[in-house]
Amino acid sequence: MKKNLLKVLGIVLVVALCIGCIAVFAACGEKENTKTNDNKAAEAEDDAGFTEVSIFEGVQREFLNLNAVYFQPVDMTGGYNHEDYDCHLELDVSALENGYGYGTGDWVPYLSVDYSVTKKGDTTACAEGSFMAMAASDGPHYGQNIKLKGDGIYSVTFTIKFPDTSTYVIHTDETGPEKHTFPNTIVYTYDNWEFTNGAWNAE
Amino acid sequence: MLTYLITVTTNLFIPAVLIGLAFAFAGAFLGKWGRRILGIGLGVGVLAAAIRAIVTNTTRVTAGWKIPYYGYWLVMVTVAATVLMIAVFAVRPLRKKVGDKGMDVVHYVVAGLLAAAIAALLFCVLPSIMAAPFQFNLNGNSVLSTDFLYRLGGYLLGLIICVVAGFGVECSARICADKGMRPLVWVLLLGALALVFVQYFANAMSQAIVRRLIGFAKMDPEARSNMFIAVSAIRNGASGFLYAFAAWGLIPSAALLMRGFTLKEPYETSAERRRQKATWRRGRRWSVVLAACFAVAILTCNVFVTLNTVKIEEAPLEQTEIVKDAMGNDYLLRVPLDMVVDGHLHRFGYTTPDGTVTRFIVVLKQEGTSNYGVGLDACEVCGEAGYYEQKGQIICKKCQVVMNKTTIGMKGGCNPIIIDYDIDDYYITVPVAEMAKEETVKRFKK
Repeated sequence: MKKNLLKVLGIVLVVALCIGCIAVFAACGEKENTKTNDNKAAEAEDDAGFTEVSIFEGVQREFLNLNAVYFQPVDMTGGYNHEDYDCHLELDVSALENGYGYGTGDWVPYLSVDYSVTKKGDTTACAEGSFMAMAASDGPHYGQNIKLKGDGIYSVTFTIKFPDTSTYVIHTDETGPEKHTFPNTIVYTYDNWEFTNGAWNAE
Repeated sequence: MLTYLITVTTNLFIPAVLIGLAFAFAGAFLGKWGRRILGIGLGVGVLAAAIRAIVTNTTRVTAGWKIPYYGYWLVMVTVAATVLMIAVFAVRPLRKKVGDKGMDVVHYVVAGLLAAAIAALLFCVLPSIMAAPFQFNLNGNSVLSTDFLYRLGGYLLGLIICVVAGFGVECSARICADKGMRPLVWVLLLGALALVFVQYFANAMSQAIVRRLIGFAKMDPEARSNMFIAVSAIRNGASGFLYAFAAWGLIPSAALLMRGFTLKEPYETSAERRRQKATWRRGRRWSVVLAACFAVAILTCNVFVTLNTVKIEEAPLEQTEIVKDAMGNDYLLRVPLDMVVDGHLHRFGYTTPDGTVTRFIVVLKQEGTSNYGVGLDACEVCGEAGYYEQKGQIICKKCQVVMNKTTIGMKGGCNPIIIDYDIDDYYITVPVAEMAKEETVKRFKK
């Protein structure tokens, strides 16, 4: 019994030392930024260095093109950390051809985007709130870390409000764009989000 | 501390028990070389996992390679092949046909497949465990900080529990085999491999369905949905697999205890008798250790997870003292300072004549001072969602942003909307007009 215990303790010590070395190595070393700093948002998923799992893409409402994706929960400035969450949900909002002065394909800022996620079979939402505007290596988007109720099929509703034109002001003379009034609030529900924890496949 | 104890235990427990059973099986059926081959598999698995952990956490080289997904398939294939080989060559007529030399080859093949299954399993589960120490220093604290030490403690405790459980299962199962219960070890290993196969099948299928791989893109959507619900149910019941493994791993101990009462072993010398007693004693002690390890593992899956789940506790709406004017109308809302001096978030409500409940918050910004943050329980960005307190921080209910207490009282952003108030040695006083004005009522009206 003593011999076995000593063997066990020895192995645990070796494993712990190895892991400790890995941790110290990682903590001391600097993560190299292998991307060039050219201000251009990465277009392909692989350039971003992580894998996004698509929920829906190419949904067009008014002058907006909507793509929703999710991946592993992330650490963010402002006190957000990835613990206690299941995934990072985001809505990429880009402009189609429009009369508001946005370039086609550009990210549309100053929107207020609310989300509500309900598991199939439930009557109340398991996650709801407001997205924050944020930046990742593939560019700006609206997103948030959220906690769900395990793997399964979810319904997700996005409510997109345009900014008040008294705070996001539009030129109304010859220097202004064609349109001066934003459309009404957009509400879009996608009810077949197949969520599986870890589907993003990259660490 | 609990986070890392849970992470390590829930990921490593099943592989540890399986590896213990595999080594016991190898000792009983595959001979000395069988255990050595398994040892090589174990080493290869740990090394491959370490390389993967370092590469994926320090570079982006492997991004998009779908390594975990292929890892699941590797586990499934090696486990299925092992089960097939073991089951087929359990058939006596086939063993007789193959002969002794043929069976030696079969033993090497089974050992190789089992070693490959162990290596694949460790390659899947160990990287996330090895990478966990990268997360210990989240807030840039010293390695001697309480936070860091708690995390390290939980992490090491999880490792110890799993490694000891693996050793305990191996020892108990090996003693079972020595005491004439070899078929039991054979059944235990096959059962454990089958459970692992089911678990990894669900993992691989759920990812394949979501990512539309291996023909799922062309599948009928309803059939695909039904299949996804089925595999999701298996994945959501992951703790059930842990309970099953805990029960499975206790079978050798239970069998030993029962056998100990009934088996009468012959002996010729007192030394031989002492050796027999020592073996039974060792089996009983490992049973106790195993039971303790399994109890902690089961507790980890339910009690510790519940304890570790962060609950949003909304501060209840408290009553203020209402001071009336000479006409008997509500004039001032008064909050005694000794009610709010504890440093926690306090929420107060006032019901306006039309029935709307308007709310304001009070929080002591800095202990030992009389610097209070007072504002509406609402902000310009998220409206009347309001705030809650968690681990000493003030957090917006809607967008989850963590408030900087020192900025409460400043205008804009996620800060509570500013209201007029007064503070003296005993009270914080808010004019009722501030809480009943049209602009405020409009914010809180449902």
